[in-house]
Amino acid sequence: MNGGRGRIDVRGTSEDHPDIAASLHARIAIVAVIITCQLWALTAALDAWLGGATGAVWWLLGFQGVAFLSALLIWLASPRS
Amino acid sequence: MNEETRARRHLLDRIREDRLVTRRDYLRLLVTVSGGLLAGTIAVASGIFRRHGTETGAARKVADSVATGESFTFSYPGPDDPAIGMRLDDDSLVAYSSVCTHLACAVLWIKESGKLECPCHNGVFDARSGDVLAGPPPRPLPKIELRERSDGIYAGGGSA
Repeated sequence: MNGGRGRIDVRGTSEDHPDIAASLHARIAIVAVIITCQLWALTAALDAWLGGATGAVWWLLGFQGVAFLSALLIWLASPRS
Repeated sequence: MNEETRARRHLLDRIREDRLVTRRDYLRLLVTVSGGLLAGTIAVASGIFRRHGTETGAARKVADSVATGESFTFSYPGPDDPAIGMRLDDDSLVAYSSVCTHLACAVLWIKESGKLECPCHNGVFDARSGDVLAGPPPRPLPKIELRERSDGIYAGGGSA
């Protein structure tokens, strides 16, 4: 396309709205951090369960619930294009 | 509008659409993964992963007798819970789940070293406490309480 002589114009995308793009990027980064923490919590919960520390499992389950709700809210509150 | 212009506009429309969809879809995918991790933790908490040696059971005779330095195997509390018992040099009786806490291989009593060893990945456990002495096992072996009575050796009355 364009004979290789220039760049394709993609005006009209969120590049035209840096505030929306930045917001989405920030949300993706925050949710990625949340997921990293959730991965740790899942492995810690499994280790605690197999080690017989049932109390710790419930705390970690609560953490997982809060983390998921946070991610869900971040997604639901993201700006619509 | 000629054919080339129409095709170019169509391509640009697709690019715009893809770029807009991709970010939000990626965020939605991450949230789905987050929900999956929550579901996984619920599954762990609900007990789908079996814990060997931590359940309690009724007292049950598991051996008639055992000589000093010797071991015997049995199942406790259920038939799918392999365990190993031994009489140590000081005549005390100890027993543990024989399922290695690393990857569930069977641990063996090594009389010469006086330790329990897992041959799969060279995990070593202390025979007196069940604690990990070497290797990759993340936790001690679950201890099973043994009681010696006049008619034999009994497991049960709770496990440590």
